[in-house]
Amino acid sequence: MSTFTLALGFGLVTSASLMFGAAGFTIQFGVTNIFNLAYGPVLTVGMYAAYVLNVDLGASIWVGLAGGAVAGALLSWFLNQCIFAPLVRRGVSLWAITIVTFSVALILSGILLAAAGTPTRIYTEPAYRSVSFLGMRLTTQQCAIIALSVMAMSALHALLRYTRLGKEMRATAANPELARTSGIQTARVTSIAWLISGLFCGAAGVTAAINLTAFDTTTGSTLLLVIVAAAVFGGVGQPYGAMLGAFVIGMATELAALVSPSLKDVIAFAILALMLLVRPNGLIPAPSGAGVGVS
Amino acid sequence: MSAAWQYYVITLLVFTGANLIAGWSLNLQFGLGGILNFGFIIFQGIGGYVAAVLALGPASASGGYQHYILGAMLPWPLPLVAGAAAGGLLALLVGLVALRPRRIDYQGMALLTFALIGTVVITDYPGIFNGDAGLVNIPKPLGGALGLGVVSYGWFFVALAAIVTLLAYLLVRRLTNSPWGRQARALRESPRALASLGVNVDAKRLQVFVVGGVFAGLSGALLVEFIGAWAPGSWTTDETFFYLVAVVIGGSGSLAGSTLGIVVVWTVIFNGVQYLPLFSYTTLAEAIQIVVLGLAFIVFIVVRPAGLIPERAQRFGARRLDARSGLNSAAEVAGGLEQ
Repeated sequence: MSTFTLALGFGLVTSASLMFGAAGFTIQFGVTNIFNLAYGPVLTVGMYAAYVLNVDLGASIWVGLAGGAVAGALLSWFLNQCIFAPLVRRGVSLWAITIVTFSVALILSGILLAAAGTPTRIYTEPAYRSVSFLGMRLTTQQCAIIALSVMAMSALHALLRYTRLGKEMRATAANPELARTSGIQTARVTSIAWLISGLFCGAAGVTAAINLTAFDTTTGSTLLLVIVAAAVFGGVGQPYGAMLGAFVIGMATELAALVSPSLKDVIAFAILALMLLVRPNGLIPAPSGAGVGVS
Repeated sequence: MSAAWQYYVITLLVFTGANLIAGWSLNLQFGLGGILNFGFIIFQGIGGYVAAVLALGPASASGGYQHYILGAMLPWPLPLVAGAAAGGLLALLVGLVALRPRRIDYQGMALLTFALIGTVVITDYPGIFNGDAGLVNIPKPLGGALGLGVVSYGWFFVALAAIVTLLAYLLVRRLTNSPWGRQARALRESPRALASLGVNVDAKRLQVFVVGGVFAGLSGALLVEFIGAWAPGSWTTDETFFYLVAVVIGGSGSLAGSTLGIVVVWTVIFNGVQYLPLFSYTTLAEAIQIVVLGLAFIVFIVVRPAGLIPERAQRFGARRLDARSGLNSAAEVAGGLEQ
């Protein structure tokens, strides 16, 4: 069991958690074209919702994970309903909405800071049992995160590929006007996209917090940048690109930690910078007009 | 006025000057050029660091309590100038990579991630600029030579900052109203039309970005010379957005607008809340500032998207362009070409 294979194992867990985040970020972007910087605090809200269920109410961490995901979904849906959708209807330009999403992020983190304060939080988890295979040693929690992530990604694939809703989402992403004239209720599709995005976001927050072992009110905002790096890596708005980006960045950060722990933080962004040089519009560039690309 | 109050006013004035320069810089990049610079603060950050190490003297002479590169003891105003140059150089390096994506929001994201890289690198590698602890005891310009008391020196610094700010203003105004500035506007309104006029759009965007970087570096250098300390906590990404919010509330693209925006947002809202005796619990004060600014921005986007002092419709060279067609701005020419 070499340190290399151990790091591969940690890479898988980090990737699995990042995949939730990157897929959620990109699905919403693909459908609405809004770069949602409020995603960071929504991650944190998911973490705290799970904390309340897990520590304050004594539920299991998995109930907490579900609760965190639901909290993320509701908050994301609410933000779109109350703030972003009305602005889009008023014809506010997309860059202005991007700054609005940041304002919302500031407001949410301000509220979080006022409500939760600065202490770091830790979930109550059952005692670790480790599982070894192929030279990797993971805890049962980490295995469960990987399994959940694989299931969620498959579900997302099935949703986009085989369901009517998925088809409507892809149509809305490709051309909202045409989708509307074809009888698709784009407003409904958009709010569902925000809901799904929030669900993935909450799950990403809780799994990342389990993986990091501790979190505070700023964890989500830091994590957002890694998620964005993964999404940009794959070509924003491209779900499979985002999954691939999450995998590459998750693996790279854990393997870089082998060389030097301080390299861990830098490597994700070094990869992104390299990617921007070589393929400025992402690994799988969105077709002009963007959209959720599932062909 | 008591000494404490005088010092409060001095601090407010110097900060206003530095923030004005930063606001004008962001107005050049974002207001005119349409570059969504979410990484703005790192250019202010590097300006501060470079100005600091060039005033501190060699790191070995400091007794080893802080570590940094490039140490030298240059006479004022060389550290200030070097800080501005460093901002421009960093903007060139970052711009070459981060401005490559087609969409401006991708560029914004790339710039935002670069801002984070900056924080991570400085924090994780303390050999560069003394890591998280930051640089301290940075000598004040001409501080030793004058031998003034704290308050009198403060007023002297206000005069110094006023001169620097005024020079920056004249330069920015000159740039904004020049053909260069008009091209920058066209960059925002219609890059395709600008390209059709034979302008290399990517090079132009990079130019605007680098010039903005120079002013950002200058603002950081001025701040550092006043504060005498500089650490990653002095240049957080949140501040980028306070500047953006200030520029948009004031009137993006308008020099008078960004000036007013900086004064309203930074001097009144930011410091106004910060120094209210009611909020001695700083976390709460910070949270309230953030919420107030966020809400103010959303209200402005809805109620007055052009800002307090909107950018004036450009009227220039109408005779030379073509009086009959009634086209009177590069933007309108651009609009015409797009249809």
